[in-house]
Amino acid sequence: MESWKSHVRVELFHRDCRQKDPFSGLFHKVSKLEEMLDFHVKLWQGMDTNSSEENTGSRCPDEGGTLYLRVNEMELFNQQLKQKISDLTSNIYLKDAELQYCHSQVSRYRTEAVMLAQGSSCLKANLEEHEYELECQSKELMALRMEQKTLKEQLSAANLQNEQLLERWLEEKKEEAKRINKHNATQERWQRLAGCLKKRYRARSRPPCATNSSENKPSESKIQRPPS
Amino acid sequence: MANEFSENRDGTANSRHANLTSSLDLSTSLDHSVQTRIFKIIVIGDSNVGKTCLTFRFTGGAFPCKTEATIGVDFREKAVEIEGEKIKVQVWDTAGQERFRKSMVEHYYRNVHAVVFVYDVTKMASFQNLKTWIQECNGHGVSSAVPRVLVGNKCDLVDQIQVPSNTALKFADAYNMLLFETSAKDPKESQNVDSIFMCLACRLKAQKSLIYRDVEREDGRVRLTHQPDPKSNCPC
Repeated sequence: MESWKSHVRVELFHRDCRQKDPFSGLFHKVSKLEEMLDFHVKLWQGMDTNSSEENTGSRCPDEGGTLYLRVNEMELFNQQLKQKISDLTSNIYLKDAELQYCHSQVSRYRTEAVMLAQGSSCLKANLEEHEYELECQSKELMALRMEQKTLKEQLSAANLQNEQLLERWLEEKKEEAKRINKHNATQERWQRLAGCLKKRYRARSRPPCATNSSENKPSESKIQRPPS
Repeated sequence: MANEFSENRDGTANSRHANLTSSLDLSTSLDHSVQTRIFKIIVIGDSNVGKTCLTFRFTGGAFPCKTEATIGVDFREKAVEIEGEKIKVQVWDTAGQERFRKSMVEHYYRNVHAVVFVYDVTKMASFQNLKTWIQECNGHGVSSAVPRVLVGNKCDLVDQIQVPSNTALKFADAYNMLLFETSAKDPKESQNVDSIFMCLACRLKAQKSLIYRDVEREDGRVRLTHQPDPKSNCPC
């Protein structure tokens, strides 16, 4: 028995490897059969209870039981169908709601699309405007660069001129300093020479001391003191 | 014969008169030239410490509203009278920036009679750079006998003073200089500014008088033999 079960399990595994869906379908089928079996067992138990209560033998138990089972099966199927119809109705409602939602979404998306289209148009217009502005600014930039280049050249020329002016100014200041230094030196030499000449002039313009002394001597000899 | 004698007398008188006139002219010229003694004073220091304003305050008697960087050198003169003698103080306002004083430095220090070092009391850097200026001065052959003074300008900015008077005084004593703290801008300090240059002029006059006296003693030969001490001759 065990070997057979193992054989069956292996074969089922192999079939599952080959065809996964039938394997799942098999499980589903087995589940259905089990449910049906449970249902039949319950019906059978119920029927046995009713039969024991009724002692009449007008009908054949086999035939009656079969019909009873069929009726109950039909009722079960009916209930299942009702349930399925109810589920489908619910699904229909859900789908309808989803459809309405989709419609609303579509409407919204359409509105958004329209708005986006308008925005796109605006953006295109803006883009064209910006492109135009960019072109204008590019031209302006080129003009400014040319102007900057010109100004740089002028600045270089001005700096060069400034340096030249500075050099000239310094040169002139240097020459002036030289002249003033030379003048100062000449003046100083002249001061010394003038001092010497002035001294000599004063010496020459002053009367000699010997003449004074010779003139004073006769006057002294003439003065005579009276005898005491 | 008598006419010839009279003509000779007239010629002699004319020549004597001409000699006298020329002598008078020479005397006048000598007096005039002797009275115009020139003292060269240079003012050096960092840029923007107030050298131009100081010199302008002394020579012009005013504070210049707008000043620009001095390029090369500016010359200013003022005639002063010291003990009856007319002296021309020639102030050289030098440039503080290196780019404005290149190739001019040797002319600054040639035959200089006095040196004025200026710093800004509100800028310690200008005071610290004085050593550089002193080294430059010494490096160009300026004799130690040449009077030197140290001037701290902008002392009217009391709240911004960075150089204490004690520090400046020690520095001045170390380098044998007189210290003046003044303000070219403040009219109340104008007398101080004048006193700086007048003090130098007095010292120079006394110094030159001694030098000329020694020159005169050489009996016509110009030779300097004595260098008087500036401190002892300073009336200030």
